[in-house]
Amino acid sequence: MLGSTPATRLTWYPGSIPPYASLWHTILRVAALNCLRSGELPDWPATLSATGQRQRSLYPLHNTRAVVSTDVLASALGETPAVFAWSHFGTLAPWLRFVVTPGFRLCLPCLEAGLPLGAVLLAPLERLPHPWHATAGAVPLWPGVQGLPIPGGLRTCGQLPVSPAGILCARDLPLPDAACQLDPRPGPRHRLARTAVQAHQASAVAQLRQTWRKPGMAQSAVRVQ
Amino acid sequence: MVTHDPTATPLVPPHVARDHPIVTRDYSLFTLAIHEMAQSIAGWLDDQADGATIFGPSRFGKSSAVDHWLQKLLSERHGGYVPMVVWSHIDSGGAQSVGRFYANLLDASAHPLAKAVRSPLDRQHMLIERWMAMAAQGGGRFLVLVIDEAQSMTQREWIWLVELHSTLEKQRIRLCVFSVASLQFFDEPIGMALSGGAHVAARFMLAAKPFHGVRSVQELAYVMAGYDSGTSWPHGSGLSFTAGLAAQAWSEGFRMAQQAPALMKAMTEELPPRYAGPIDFPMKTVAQACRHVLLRVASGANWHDVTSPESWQHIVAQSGHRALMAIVSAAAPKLRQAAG
Repeated sequence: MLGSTPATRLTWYPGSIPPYASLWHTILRVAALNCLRSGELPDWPATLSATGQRQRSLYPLHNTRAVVSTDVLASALGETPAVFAWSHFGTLAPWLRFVVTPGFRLCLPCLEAGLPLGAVLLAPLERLPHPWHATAGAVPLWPGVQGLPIPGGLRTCGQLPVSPAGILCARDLPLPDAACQLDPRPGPRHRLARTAVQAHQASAVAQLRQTWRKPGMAQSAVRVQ
Repeated sequence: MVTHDPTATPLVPPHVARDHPIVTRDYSLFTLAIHEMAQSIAGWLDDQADGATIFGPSRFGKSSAVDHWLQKLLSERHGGYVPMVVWSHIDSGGAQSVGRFYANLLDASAHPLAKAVRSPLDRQHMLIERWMAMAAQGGGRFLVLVIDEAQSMTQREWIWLVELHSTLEKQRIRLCVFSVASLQFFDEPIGMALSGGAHVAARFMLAAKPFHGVRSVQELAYVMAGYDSGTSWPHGSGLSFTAGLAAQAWSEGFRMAQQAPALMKAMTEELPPRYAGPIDFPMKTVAQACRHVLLRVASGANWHDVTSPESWQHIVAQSGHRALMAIVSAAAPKLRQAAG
């Protein structure tokens, strides 16, 4: 772990972090300027066992496991901690993270269309435009590394800028009408699951709208990551 | 039989804080030589010189000037922060130790990863990035590198420095290298210039200025007045070193600046036999003698006794003044003859 007194600051250009820049982007810049190696980020666990993970990996999109302390990082760079506000989504409730996480996520229109739970978890589905696909611009570029920002607008499935390996983009899934034919007589367990997911969806939408309305929180900031 | 010897008592009395700058010697007095050095370097910076040399005998206060004053004086004159790295030269070793050379410079640049394991190429990258960032922080496109103890630089290290200079030049950053070297009286930094090769000398050593010690009573009085009015301890208390340490004597009119003639006389009389050098005294003797007097007075000794001519001469003799002057002037007759 590095000290953070002014005399021992990492090489950096104070004031060079753009608004809403992702933590991952800043870490990449710090690493490039200082030839940082694993375990040398300020306040980053020095040993692998201390990270609580099998592999030493950074997940700065949510910054929840083996957390990078943005306050310590700011101090080591000569920045104010405020520049890291909204640099990651760690402040979102855990159950809301699916909406900003690249990869598998709930597809709300699919839920509304009545696809069974097992199918909707395989979203993003192809060519089904809906607001949540706005976050699909951020995709994993290689296994274990997430969150590299790829600016993207509102996209539908199948229009991703990068085709991520390992993600099932359910091209071969049946359309909702056809999916209904998978189980023409849904039993009580299926109906119960569908009800629970719809309640979850309503709450997620409400909290997300509330988050977007916070002062200074531009919608584009969410879209970037 | 053991008899009581007043000099056997500790010099630092118990009531004086152990972190007092006089005790720790962590202070620096402003001298005319420091002013002249800062003026010279500022002039070279104005002229966009790639480098120059400051040279003078050992223990005359060059390192103190570089460590405590140069950054402040240059920034004042420049009207803002002057990006500066002060490196007290450490030998890097053999031909394969370019990585250690970069690590030493990273350490001087206060890089927190200076000691981390890195390849030489990585260290060079870190150093270039560090210096570019410092230059940007200064708002200009230049960086000052001061090499203390530059007389020990090897040809290989000079060449590595030329490479750094060229690399930064390609990034349109000017690296100004000022060497501070310890040489004997009447010696010139030509030997040092030649040790690095002609192209090194042509880049970094085209200009040179001597660094003097104390040469007159007036200069010495100016320096010693720092104990009376230019210092403060505890910080912000407004109490000068003299007033704080020797309160009783201070109230009776004791001032260190008034002791300049006595100290000058003592230093002159303590010169070695057949001394062939100039009247140019090291700050090491001045600081050590003044510290001794202040602490003796702080211990309760009568300040009239402590500052008598005999006492001053004894204190100067105990400081190793004669040996130091003999060392720095050993080659003076030959060098003076060659110069003349």
